Amino acid sequence: MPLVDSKQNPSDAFIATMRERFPTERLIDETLTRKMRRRSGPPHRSQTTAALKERLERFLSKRIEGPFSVSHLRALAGGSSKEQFAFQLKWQDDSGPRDEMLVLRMRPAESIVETHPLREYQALNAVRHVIPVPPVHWIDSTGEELGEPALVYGFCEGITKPPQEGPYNPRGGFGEKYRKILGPQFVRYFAELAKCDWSKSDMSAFEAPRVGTNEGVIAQINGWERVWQEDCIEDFPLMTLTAQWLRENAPPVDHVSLVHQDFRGGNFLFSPADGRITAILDWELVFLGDRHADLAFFMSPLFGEVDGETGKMFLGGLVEEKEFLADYERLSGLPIDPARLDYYGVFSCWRGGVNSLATASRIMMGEKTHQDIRVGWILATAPLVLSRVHESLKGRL
Amino acid sequence: MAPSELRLQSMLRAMIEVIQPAIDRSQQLAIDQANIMIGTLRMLLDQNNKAYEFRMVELRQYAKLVRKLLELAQGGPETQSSCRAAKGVLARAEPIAALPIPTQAVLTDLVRAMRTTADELLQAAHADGNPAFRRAAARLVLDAGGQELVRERVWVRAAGFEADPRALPSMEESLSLDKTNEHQPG
Repeated sequence: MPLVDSKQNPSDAFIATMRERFPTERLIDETLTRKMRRRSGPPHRSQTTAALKERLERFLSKRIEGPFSVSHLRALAGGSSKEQFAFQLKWQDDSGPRDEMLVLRMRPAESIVETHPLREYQALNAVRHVIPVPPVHWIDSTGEELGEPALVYGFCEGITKPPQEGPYNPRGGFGEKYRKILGPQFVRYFAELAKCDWSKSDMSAFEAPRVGTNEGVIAQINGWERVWQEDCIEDFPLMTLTAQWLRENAPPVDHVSLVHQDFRGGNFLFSPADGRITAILDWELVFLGDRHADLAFFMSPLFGEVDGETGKMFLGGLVEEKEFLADYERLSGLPIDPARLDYYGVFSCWRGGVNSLATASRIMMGEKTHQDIRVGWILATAPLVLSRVHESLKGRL
Repeated sequence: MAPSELRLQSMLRAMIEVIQPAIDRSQQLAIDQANIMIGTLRMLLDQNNKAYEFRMVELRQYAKLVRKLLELAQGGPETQSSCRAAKGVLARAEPIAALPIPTQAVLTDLVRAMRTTADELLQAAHADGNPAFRRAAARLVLDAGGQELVRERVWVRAAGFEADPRALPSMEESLSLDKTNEHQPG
């Protein structure tokens, strides 16, 4: 029997107040409103393989002309936010007969990050010529056909971390061998993302901020503060103080980039044989805004790795800071502003606090995801990332 | 502090819905131990947050028993020696047993109420507090947040997210920080 508090049964008035107090992008508002209207509903229960296969076949029959077959449908491990299933699809398209493994990526009843699949779908299409990403095939934006909003994309070969033995260690890094191969590729794709010209793609699911204004980051703060208010079980005055500081110090954007918001080790696949990055994953949090948000997130203390022999710190377990910043500027052709980097360091850690302190507990409370146990583990990251916020705000207030 | 009932509930759910069904039917020892794990987790969830209260009830009951035994005790050197020892222990126990210590549920409600109150004061200061109050409120919240974060980091140190876990104080030290207010690791 799930534990409950008053926010598990939000009233229409509460939902309306949240929408009014925290204006944000249309699709983000729509997604969060949907979450709140469904909150008092039942806990998440994974669909049976048979039921899911039937829905998937019905879904595909509307998108594939001619015969096709679905087989080997199975749940995949990993990922904290979406349920993922692999399956084999045989079908025929303009290029001829195809026999491929695909991935179905579905939102659970509530996720540690509540996002709209159309944004992920459009972002993947916008970057696919400059960054290796899974080929995205089909989308169910509303969940009417598959039970929950979902994407179908191509399965990419690769691993996220070198194989490790022994007990689970969240800081298990890449090691020297892979670091040397992966680091330069990773920085190159990081730079490609910042300079990617998204304007020629269909980005109707996004609202681009105007250059020279801070409206984009204010909309982001509104969105995340709304999530905090909707999800938190206990108030945390430091989170409120930080939101106040972020609003008062929100900087204008000089160049509008696609911002991934989760660009780090663990969110890309690479071939263990040659170390080639095969796909950058998890585009669900993507927005149009300031590249410094991605840079600062990657530089978070949570992802740093200290080399056991040299004592050197490697950002994200991949690259040293000085080298990273210099290479990023050179490859992207875009400057790094230390003040904005610092600002977005606070922003990204505060945002991490919203996810881990508020949403993780909330979805565990409602048993709303297939990954309760994993998001419970993520809860333990909150004090570390908020310590970065605390350090930054000291002496400024 | 993350409510431990949520962690226990999620462990139980993972055992029932994912782990137990995935065990090969030929692995009888694993099946047996998984079932015991589920039972143990249910028991822990039931007992959660009540251990302190349970001990207090034990203390009060034993203090009462010892007091009655002492009132009736008569006998030789061994009885007299035991009575002297019992009086010493009772002198330590009875003042504690008499304390009106709140239950965990009452304590949790109060802490949440205080958190909300502090948050509302901060928001009010930001909205229309005079400049001095506004600055002071921000600084006080920041200082208190710093202490809280050290305590929280120590509490979850075993999760393994800290780059240098040895830089943090011990659990005992972190729980006495409100008295000493000295340790502030980065």
